[in-house]
Amino acid sequence: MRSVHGLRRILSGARRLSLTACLLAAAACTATTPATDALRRDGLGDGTPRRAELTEVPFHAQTDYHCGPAALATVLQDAGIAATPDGIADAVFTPGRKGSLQTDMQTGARRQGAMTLPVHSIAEALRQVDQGRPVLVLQNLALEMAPQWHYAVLVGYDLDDGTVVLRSGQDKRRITDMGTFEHTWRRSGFWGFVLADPSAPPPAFATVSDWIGEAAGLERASRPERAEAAYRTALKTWPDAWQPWVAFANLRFQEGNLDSAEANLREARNRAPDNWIVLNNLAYTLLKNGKPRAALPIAEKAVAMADATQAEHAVADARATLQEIKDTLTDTSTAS
Amino acid sequence: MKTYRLKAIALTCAVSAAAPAVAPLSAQAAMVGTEKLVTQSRVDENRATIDAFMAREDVREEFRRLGVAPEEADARVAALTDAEAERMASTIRSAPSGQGAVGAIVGAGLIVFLVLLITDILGFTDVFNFTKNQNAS
Repeated sequence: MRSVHGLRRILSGARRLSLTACLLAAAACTATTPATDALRRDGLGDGTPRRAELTEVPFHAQTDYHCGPAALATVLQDAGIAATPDGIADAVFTPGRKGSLQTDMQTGARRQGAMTLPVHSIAEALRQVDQGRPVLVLQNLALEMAPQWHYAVLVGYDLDDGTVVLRSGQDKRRITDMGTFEHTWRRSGFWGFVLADPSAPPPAFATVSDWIGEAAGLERASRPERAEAAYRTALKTWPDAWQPWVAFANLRFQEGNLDSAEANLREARNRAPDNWIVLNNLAYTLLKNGKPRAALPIAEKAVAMADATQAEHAVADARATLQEIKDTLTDTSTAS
Repeated sequence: MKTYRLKAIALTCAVSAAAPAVAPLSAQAAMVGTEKLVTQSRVDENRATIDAFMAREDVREEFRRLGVAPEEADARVAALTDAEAERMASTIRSAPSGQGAVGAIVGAGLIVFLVLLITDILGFTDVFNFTKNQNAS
């Protein structure tokens, strides 16, 4: 019995292995250029033209290993921010690595007051070019096993010719086969971004969370005035969203302006009456603003709503706020 | 041997030095910060994007064509982790809105299913029952 069972196990193991091999082979077969093929065949949709080029985007020839600063200065200048490759090199270049880390490219942009919105597909990248935004991309020009990382800026495409135009290295206008571009960009996991001006309307692909998240990054980069501009833009762009109001309230709370924080949170609550974050923050603001009695029922509802999300940290946070309100009320009643 | 012990000591030092920096597990009453808010609402947005996509008749038709009942497709999608949902939602968002795109996106969705299938077979996940049948006895 045992040996039969063992044989069966080996056979089923082999079958599983061959199935795995088949699937891996299928995955290997897809190592072509599906995005390029689909785009050249079907176009970009939504009436987006089959070719576009941003001829006004400036060019900085890179020196030595400085493709990162050159590419970032290119998109920053295009966004109207006076930055030069040399001027931002200290912020984005790591001499010991002879290169620029991806995160430093993003923080470097933020420290100049610009927002970075990730673009992760060729279709979206081409659409951004059509809408006037150059796309900073990270390519691996060599092989996975021996990478040669390179930052470039996508400024044009032509679906009929099957080419893209890049500001790259020493070339102001490097024309690259679109399939080759797909391969070299894929090797970085399609890592790229466009810059956004906090005061200008967001690109269509950005969600309210993308936008607010980037704006919070501006706060981290010590550009609170740019963050506030971005929150204001969010209010206009997504008038029904609760997130921008909470972000505003957080800014006001940090400044110690509790009345304004409270007013902003009431606006948030009008839009999302059952959101535990809104309720928790409103309750906490009321507590700190000397209104623990008003805070109590709101904190109780926050706990109930946090429970419904089934996220442990949410429940713990909301409970902690409720507890502090209860403690405050107990202290007050004992004192009086 | 000596080196190993030294390494062990060094490691212990690093851990004990790092310990105070680790955030306490117990929560404290506070404002939920803007970044935390974003994390939470992004998860909700991704699920909403996927739900809206799965509810479209042309998408359901595409799944039927692939031999997957729409209800089964819903069940598979419901089992996605937040990280996987993020990937799928971004695929949906970055695709053109035209008809021709549906097949491509469902295909991309299927890649997620294939990943789950492969990891199931390897025993890392446990989504598809049929991969376990041989071991059932």
